[in-house]
Amino acid sequence: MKLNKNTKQVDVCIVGSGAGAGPIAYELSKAGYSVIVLEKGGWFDEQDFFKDEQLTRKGAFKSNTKYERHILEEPTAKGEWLSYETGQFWGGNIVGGASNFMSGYFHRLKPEDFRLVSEFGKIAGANTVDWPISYEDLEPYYTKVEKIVGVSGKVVQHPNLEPRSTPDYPFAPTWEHPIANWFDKSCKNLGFNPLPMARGILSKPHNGRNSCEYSGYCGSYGCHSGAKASSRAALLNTAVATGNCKIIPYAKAYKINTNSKGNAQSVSYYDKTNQTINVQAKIIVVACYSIESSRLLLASQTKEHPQGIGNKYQQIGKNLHCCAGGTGHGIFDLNNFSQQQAKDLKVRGPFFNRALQDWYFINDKKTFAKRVKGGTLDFVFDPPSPTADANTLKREDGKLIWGTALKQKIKKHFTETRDFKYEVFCDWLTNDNCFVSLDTTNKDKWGSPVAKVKVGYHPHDLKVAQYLVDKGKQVMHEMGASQVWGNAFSSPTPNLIAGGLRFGKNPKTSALDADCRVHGTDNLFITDGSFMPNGGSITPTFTIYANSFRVADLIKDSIRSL
Amino acid sequence: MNNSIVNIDNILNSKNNFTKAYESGLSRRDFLKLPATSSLLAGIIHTKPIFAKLKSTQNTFNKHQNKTMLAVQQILFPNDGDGPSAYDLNALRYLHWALSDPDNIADGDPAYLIKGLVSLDVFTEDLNAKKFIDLSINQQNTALEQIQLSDFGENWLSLIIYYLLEALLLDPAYGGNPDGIGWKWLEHQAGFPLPSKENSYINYMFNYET
Repeated sequence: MKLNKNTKQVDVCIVGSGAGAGPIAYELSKAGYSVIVLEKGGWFDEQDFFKDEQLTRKGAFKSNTKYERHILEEPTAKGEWLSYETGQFWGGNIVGGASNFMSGYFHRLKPEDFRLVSEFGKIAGANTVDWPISYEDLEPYYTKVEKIVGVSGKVVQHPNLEPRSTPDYPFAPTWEHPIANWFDKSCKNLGFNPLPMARGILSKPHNGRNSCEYSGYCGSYGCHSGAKASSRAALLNTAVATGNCKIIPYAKAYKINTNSKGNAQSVSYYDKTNQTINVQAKIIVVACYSIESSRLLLASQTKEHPQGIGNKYQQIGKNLHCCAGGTGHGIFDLNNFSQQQAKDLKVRGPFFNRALQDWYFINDKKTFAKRVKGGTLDFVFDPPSPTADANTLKREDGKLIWGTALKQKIKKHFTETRDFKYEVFCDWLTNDNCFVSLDTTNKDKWGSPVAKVKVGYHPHDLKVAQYLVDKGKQVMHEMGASQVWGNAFSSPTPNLIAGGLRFGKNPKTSALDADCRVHGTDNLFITDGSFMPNGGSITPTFTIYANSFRVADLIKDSIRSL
Repeated sequence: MNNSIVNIDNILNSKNNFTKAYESGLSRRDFLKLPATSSLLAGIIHTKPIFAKLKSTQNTFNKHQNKTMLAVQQILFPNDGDGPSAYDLNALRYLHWALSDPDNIADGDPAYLIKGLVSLDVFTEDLNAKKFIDLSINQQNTALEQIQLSDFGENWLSLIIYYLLEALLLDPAYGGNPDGIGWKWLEHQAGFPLPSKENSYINYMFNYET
């Protein structure tokens, strides 16, 4: 075929470059196939990632809301719907995506997460379904991620430990914070099982990446050493080095075109100068964050798919989930502790790395009539954001303070207290009021309709989250915090959105087949978190990596026949 | 729906480490457009004060305005024997730098601050028959207490404190916090590598500005 200068031809074209995209680019380029990765943002690396609070405060690596935004629809306390523009769902719009800025809590799902309905029964008002694959299908790929992407940790036996094919993680735990032992002791006093938390962070050099430098600036900051398991550092650099993978930054994909059989034929994108380019590919993979992947399919209205690709049964964008849970805090007044304990609490650099999964399943008749799915508590020190912290201190009883009063309040906050935090992760039950659609009026700078994100929640989520938040409070009290508080949330966790294109056997209740291929097509795959029918009670990145490696193998099998 | 969505903890301490309110993806200007009951608005205490944009061509202080701003900053962050003062922090020089950031100009900050400086003198001349800088320290403090009672005055002071705290805690590359004087006082351990003047955040704002 004769191609003009605005057409490229390739074996595999991937839209997006984050955790769902990296494994496909890595595996297919290593297998000798030509790959193009289209990334909307720029291409930055370790040399760009200064520990500069302004980079995060100014959103330097995120989409500019002036050009692109979302319309959020959230329920009010009165049960009405409130609608407004937001930029909160942009998590990192550069090569490697939000995985550049994650904290890297790498928990695996548990076998029961793959069969919630069979295990716990249906919940009225929720759209929960069993997965078309089992934990056993994904297990080898978790193991692969641990080895290739690099996961550090230590396996400790506990009642809810998921089955593993290897005895331990390939990388030893990262350097631990001195108060981790203090936490372990307090948990044991309470009869809880403290767990070391696995991290997508290297404790020793691997594949051209350095090990962690322990600067104490991790989550929300780009990684300077390459230790953080971003898709860029861990996979895309290797893919590019094969000579088979080309990453095109500032390439904004806006439509997938289909052929007469309804299969994906090419991706149209705007380049840096707003010219339209088409990439023709045998296989097209979409992995640009749940909301945007749904948006791209809905916007790709072709002759064969007039309502958007794969949308014959109105499943595209449906069953989005936003990670339910909550947070809690313990404020530790250093004056209440020994000199050594105070010194330990002030250490910055090593990781805390502790979690509790005692209530991943809750069997407590006093609160729930039957056994229910619970969640995970991760304990962390927030990455430093001193200027933002100081700004929260400038009022007392709603009134500005200044002079010595302000200075002493700031000094006490920084030098005499430490804020120790825990985060609760639970399933956000999928329901008819949580989905992505195209907004009818608001357009991005290229003229495409922006995504409208409706985030209705199920009240069951709050009950479960509150149960876990209360457990975290117990730990904080036991450790000697002088102030303790915590809340369950009903709002979405913007960086942990998944679903929207769930996989399943029935095209009438799912968007993808078990291989993550869009129903009604032979060659269009979705490999970000969109495929998940439920998020599990953990952060999804590890699972997205694992599933993407699984789909990469399936693509390798099917591309030969195309 | 039984739960209030206006949940400050949700915004300020949301679950993953990179979703603080200031990183919500909204610019400060975007907050203006938010409905009063949105959950995001609850995060506003992390952000810069907002106000209706002023139309003005004057974006830099004259000599008298510089003197007045310096005096105001010294009241807000004085030399009280414990920790650096606004003067020690190079807070005025930092403010000049910050007001050259195109984002802050677009927010209307320079014009707003100048309007406040002019109003402050009008206020003290009415009350004490003197310009602000000619008052005693006690009178200056009282004058600021009084202008705080108006919405404009409260916003104006809040904005000056916002930039003062940046001068206290941002990287010395931005002109405030010289030699990390603020970090040392607060025993704050900075990360590494640190930015340099050549690698300020402004250089990275071009991502997407294609």
